[in-house]
Amino acid sequence: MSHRLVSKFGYYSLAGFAGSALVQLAVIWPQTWVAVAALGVLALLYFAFLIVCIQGVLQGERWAGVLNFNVLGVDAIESTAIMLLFVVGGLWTCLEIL
Amino acid sequence: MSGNPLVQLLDANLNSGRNRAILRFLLGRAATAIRYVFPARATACYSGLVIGFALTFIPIAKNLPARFTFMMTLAGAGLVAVSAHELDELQDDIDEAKEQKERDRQLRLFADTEAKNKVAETNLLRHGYELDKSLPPELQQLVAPADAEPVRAPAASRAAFDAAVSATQTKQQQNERGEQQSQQAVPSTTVPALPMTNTVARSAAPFPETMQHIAQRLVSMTVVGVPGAGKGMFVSNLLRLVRQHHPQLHLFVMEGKGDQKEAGYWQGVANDIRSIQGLDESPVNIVAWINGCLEDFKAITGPKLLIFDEVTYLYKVWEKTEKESFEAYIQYKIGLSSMGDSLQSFVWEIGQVSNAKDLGVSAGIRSLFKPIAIVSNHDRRAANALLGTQFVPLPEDGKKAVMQMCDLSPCGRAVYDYVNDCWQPMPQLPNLSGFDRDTRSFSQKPPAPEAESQPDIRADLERLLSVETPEPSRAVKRFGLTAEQITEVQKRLSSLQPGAISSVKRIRENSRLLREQGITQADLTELFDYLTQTQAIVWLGSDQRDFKYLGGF
Repeated sequence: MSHRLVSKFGYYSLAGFAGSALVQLAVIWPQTWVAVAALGVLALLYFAFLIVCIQGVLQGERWAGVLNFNVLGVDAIESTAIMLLFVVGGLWTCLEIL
Repeated sequence: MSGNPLVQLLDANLNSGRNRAILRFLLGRAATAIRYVFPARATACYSGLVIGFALTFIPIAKNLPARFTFMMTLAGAGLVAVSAHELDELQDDIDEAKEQKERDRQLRLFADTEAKNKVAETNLLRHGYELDKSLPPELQQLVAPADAEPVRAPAASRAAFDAAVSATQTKQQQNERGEQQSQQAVPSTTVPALPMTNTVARSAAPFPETMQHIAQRLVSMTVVGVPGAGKGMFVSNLLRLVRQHHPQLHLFVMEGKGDQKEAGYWQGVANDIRSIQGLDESPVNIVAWINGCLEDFKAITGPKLLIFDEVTYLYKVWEKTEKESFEAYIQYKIGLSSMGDSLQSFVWEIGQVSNAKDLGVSAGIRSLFKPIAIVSNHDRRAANALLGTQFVPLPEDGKKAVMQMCDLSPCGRAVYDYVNDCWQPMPQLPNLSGFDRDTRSFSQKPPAPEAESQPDIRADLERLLSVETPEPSRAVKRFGLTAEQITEVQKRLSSLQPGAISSVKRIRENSRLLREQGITQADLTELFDYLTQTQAIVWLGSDQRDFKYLGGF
């Protein structure tokens, strides 16, 4: 346990804040919903891709082994966490303010 | 009320005094706890993080207006970003401090070990055994043998004893050698039985044996000494031994002083002697001379040894004048230091200072060459300056011990050699130059060849040139050359030692003036023909390219 772990959590939570801020912006400025929807689709694609990859790895497929996905210059687990936080932040804000 | 548990948690009525008091108490306790656990910087970072999260979540949880919520979210995100970054930096600093602490600990451990080793070594040398330092001091004294402490005789009686021993040994020596003492041999017992006050010197081999070892097992080395310390004398004696052990070795001497009084150092032993009066020549000429000599040295096939005298001055001039060729030489030198043994090529540098910077190299590169240092008690200030450098290690008792060795030496000198890795008094070596710099007098047998027997070519040429009218020197033509060009050839030839082999091409290429004025080898033919007639030079082949300089300039 070190300050590094808390620092990382702080950085990753920024993704949640970004998702939340995007939804809030869409409430203020409705045209932004298009961007929210587009990002939502991208997030869905990302998770679909992730699931396919995980299945491929579990089944020992050679193509899955060489696939590498990277978001914001971080590795697979971290980028998944960032995407999750982004989606959760946006969804929670949607649930709260809509 | 919202169904979200987070909202329920934060849905406190802040208008209630009781609730505010509870919240104030909790925050205060949290801050105290954080301050107790973390230092102030960490407290600030964590506080910023908590406030950032609060700024982001509370407006959403409280269903505040979207515009306000959006602004608060951005502010909270910014605060979280800054706090997270600061925490990251804080952790970096903590890690670095830990590493530094570990490094310091390792250094302390290393220093302790070194110190303990030194103490153990000292005890071993001084007492013949290593004291068990785990014992208390009282017990250590009990177990120490009675003669552990060196018994020192009173100074006066000791000096008298030493003098008596010296006198006896010198007498024996003279009887043994008699009249048949050869100048070629290095005296093995010219040093009286010197009282070895220094423990390091006690274990060293006698210096003549060391010289034999150096001569037998050649390496590239640097001989450093204060002015007049006897570097030339030492090297010249060493060269005689080298010649005995390595008859096929080509000894190539580059001497930058050009002092005829010291010509005897090299004559009769070196295969090639190149000399230049460094102080009288222009830097360009000096560099051209060095480059020419080195080219010739590199062209020599088979085992060879370059003796480069007066490197302190020559290197400085060279480095300032033509850095590229100087650096190329340094590279060549480094190559010789590592591969010289297999290539059978060696370099001995002789200079006055041992600072790596003054030798044009780094300390690491300087250490590639084996060190030999000579100091004399005639110039204690210079000796102290040399001993102050890290070129050679000092004995345990420091500079004072070295100066004491000088006082004990019959010639007032002390020498450090890489073989024994210690200082010892220098024995009296034969002076092969014929000039005693200590007394500023010539010895009875001048080693330099008689100059009178040589034709006075210089006077002859000057006489020929002096009949011209006082026109500009360039207009004077003799042998198809101007007076300036003839003088230049004279100068080039005068830098050669009698008996040295050179070529017309080399004379031309070593002269910037001749090259710049477009003088070809063919242009020099008439002049060199004249020189052969006057027996200043003799051609080595019918092609009239290489010649042997017979002297006269």
